[in-house]
Amino acid sequence: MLSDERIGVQDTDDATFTSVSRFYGRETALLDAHDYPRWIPLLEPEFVYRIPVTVTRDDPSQSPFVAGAYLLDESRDSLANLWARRLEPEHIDFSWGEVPLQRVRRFVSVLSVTDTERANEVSVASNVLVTVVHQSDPVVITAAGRQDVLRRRGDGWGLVQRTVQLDESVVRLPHLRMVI
Amino acid sequence: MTRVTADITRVSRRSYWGRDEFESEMERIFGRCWLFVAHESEIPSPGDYVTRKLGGEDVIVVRDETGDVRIFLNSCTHRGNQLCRADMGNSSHFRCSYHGWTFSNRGTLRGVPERKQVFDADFDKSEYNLVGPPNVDVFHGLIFASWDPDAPTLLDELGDMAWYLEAVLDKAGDLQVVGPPARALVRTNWKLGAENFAGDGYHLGTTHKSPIDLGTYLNTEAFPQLDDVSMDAMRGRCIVAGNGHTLRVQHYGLESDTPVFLGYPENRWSDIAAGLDPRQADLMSRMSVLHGNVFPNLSFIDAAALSSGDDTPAVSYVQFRQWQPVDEMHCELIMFALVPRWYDEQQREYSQRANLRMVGLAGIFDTDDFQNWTSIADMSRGRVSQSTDFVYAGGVGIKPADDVDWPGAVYDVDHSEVNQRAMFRRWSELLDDDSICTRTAGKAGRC
Repeated sequence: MLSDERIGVQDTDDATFTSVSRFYGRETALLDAHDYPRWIPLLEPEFVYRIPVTVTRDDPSQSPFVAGAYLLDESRDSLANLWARRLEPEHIDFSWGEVPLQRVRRFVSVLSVTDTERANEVSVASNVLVTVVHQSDPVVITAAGRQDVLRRRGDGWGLVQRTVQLDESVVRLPHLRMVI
Repeated sequence: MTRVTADITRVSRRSYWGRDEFESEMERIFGRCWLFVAHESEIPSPGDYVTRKLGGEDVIVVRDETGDVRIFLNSCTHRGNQLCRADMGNSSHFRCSYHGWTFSNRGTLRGVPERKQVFDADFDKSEYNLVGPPNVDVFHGLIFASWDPDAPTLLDELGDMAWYLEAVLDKAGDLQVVGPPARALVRTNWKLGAENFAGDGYHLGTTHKSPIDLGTYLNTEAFPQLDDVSMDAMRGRCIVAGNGHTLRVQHYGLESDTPVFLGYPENRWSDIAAGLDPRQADLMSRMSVLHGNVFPNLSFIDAAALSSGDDTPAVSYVQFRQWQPVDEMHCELIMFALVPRWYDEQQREYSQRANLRMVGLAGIFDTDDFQNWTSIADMSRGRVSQSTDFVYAGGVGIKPADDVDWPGAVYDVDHSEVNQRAMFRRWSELLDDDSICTRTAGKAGRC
């Protein structure tokens, strides 16, 4: 269900929308290239990346995404220290889960950019389709909603928060160690 | 076919990847053993339910109006339609969407639409109550059930493992789940994860070299109590607790007159010790990691996470996980994060975060484990590969030590395959035991 504040009234201006769209184009390319050294600097110091647990409920008024229960809960530093470093030469030989690199593409669409109470931040809702190919396996596809908070910087945007809501309640990706 | 050698040092690959072997397991192990199905804290109030698998069967686990935990097939007794379509919820009754038969959450058939018009006068509703396992019991919050009408009691089945589970589950008072479990379909056989958790310390140096190098494990910097404690004094033990249950525990070589529960607030240490018997306090004190497997498929880990990669403080976490068999090549992994009830929101968040970052679906340990387990499955599809054996000969001559008075057989060894042999010994015994056929006569089976 769409909440009413998502439909138009607080949408940001066209220039901001265009700027945010460009940011996602660049950010997605960095993620698809596994380029953590250039992606991590896009994160604000307090960045939080979370994926809540998805459940099927009998009550349509309740969200399928359970607040407070997560599949993943990372910060900028944990991503830098426990994710990105595993692809550095010193560690890559023992990063069995990530190497050989999976071929991953993120298709980010249906952007809705909304102004927030903070003048320098916008809230961005989008849909993400992720395709993952591991070695010679068939492609695995997963669909998700994404809720981001972006902060204006002199050179564009910084990511303050990313919450990914997976549609599948049983994860079928080879592993979940990826930024969706 | 020989599945295992007499000394269990070799296990045929077909034991993992054979279709016939899988069918036999479902009948003779999952149709017989006590199986974990949910945690009590998932269904705290009357009417609360979760839907799960129990030995390959879809079941509803519900707390009825009187507070008792009940388990039923999630299938209408009329024509088999699914009753609960949600993973979790609350309901006083379950109504079938096909013809409207309605059951109370005690499993009693209450309503049959157009009963007098459709059925004869002698139609007896009481013959069509929901079907459930004959045995359901709760052990310190863990809900187990068995489909075997002649199953031993849960306590008898757990045997010496009950003492160790108590130590984990009572160490910090009542534990509760953080939320609904994480679930993933994993392309591997259920036994690979189970035997890894059963006691495979041997894989750490290779599979998990990366998290060790990155300071998340075997790192004394996180706890001030570990200043000047030599890592060479780290001591691991493997424990065989009967009926296929095993665990491995590792302790820091820390000298202390009183128990030290790393990862818990220091002002709670005396309370934690008081809640355990002295031997259990000895087991849990100075502990780095404890992990094990309740045969057949409930694994657990209790560990002090040293670094979560950022300013999250060193903290203890507890995870129970179940390897639900799907077929010989797939299992569904279900992970439960557990925390003490007395944790405040911040402590709960720290513990959950450490849990996820270490052993979650994106965890630095599990990401590498998944790679191994799925790779083994992929490399075991051929006739030639399936004709070979897996090797479990590590520590074959070792004898139990007598320097601690913990239950079961305690081996003073960190890296061995003694636990896996105990698991496969039980596995083999059950597959060769035909008595299950007479006990479950009349049910679908291959006996």
